[in-house]
Amino acid sequence: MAASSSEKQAVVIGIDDSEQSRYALTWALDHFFPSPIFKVVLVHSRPTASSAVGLAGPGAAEVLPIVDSDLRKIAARVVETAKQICVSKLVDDVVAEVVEGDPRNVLCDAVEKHHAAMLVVGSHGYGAIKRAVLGSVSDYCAHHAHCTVMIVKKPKSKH
Amino acid sequence: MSNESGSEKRRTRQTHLSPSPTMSSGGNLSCVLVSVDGSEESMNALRWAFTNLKLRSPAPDSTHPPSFVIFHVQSPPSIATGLNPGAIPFGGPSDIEVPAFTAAIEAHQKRITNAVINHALEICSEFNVTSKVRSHVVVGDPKEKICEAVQDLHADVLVMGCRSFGPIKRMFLGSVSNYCAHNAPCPVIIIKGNDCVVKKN
Repeated sequence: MAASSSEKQAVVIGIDDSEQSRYALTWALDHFFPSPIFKVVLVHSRPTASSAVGLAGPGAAEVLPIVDSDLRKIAARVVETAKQICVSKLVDDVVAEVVEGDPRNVLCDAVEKHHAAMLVVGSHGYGAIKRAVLGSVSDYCAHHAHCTVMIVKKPKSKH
Repeated sequence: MSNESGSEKRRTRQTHLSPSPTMSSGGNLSCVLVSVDGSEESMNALRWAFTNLKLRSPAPDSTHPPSFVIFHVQSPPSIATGLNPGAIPFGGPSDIEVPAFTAAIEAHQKRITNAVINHALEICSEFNVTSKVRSHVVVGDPKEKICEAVQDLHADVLVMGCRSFGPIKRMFLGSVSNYCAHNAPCPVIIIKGNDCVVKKN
């Protein structure tokens, strides 16, 4: 029985350029896919050039386009790596999106847009202080996403 | 003999492929820990786990067959006595001084635990997975005990519901889910109690 793509429920997997997020993607693919009921939606949130540069000095106008194209290249590479991981796990029903903005909102919006059944995020494993200062995307998503959330942490050391 | 080692390698690879047409492929979990507390959300989490998570098919020589573990943490009696609103006319005793009282509370807790586990087992029989289910009860602080259990039982994944107390509090996770999401040494799946959870007929 071949479930057409439109009948499958979406699983949004948040990806970024980190080891933890690749681990989360790999874990999710190993344990849930290939699957007749779930399809993969990879979502990468690209920081806006102005937030990455973080200064509003006079030189900003010239730097911004360079930063922007750099960010685009990084985003493309992240998505490409993720797609290759999917292919190596024999998962071919993959949709990838790059959205500009803050990862927290991007992921929660993606969940709503695709009516996702599940959201998978990695976790950088920050301690309490780092989390208070830098913020935690997985924390925010676990609170605010309107669907089941899976947080995959890369184990720090193998026992 | 080199032939034997070759066939052994082939045998181990077969268990990973698990080509059974009836179950959705991708079953690679050997221990799924579902923590229940008697709330409807945690029972929903149990149902979600049975619907969507597939266990690895048991290898013929394994000592621990893959299983779902239903885990319940019973609150220790001291906390219960503390919460009791001043019904003790003795003037703030510790629970050691009133052993009968403590025993009564423990018996009550045990009744609650049994009710929770029975409800969970009923759900298991709905899904016909009773053979793959074990239950585990400990006494103590839920957050720490759940993380301990993940380590002791080498769970592959932890599944929990989260209580939502109303439209404002729904924005927040319960403190236990929050703690476990950050501190459990394995991936954590948090099932929200809303209609995004699709039931399969």
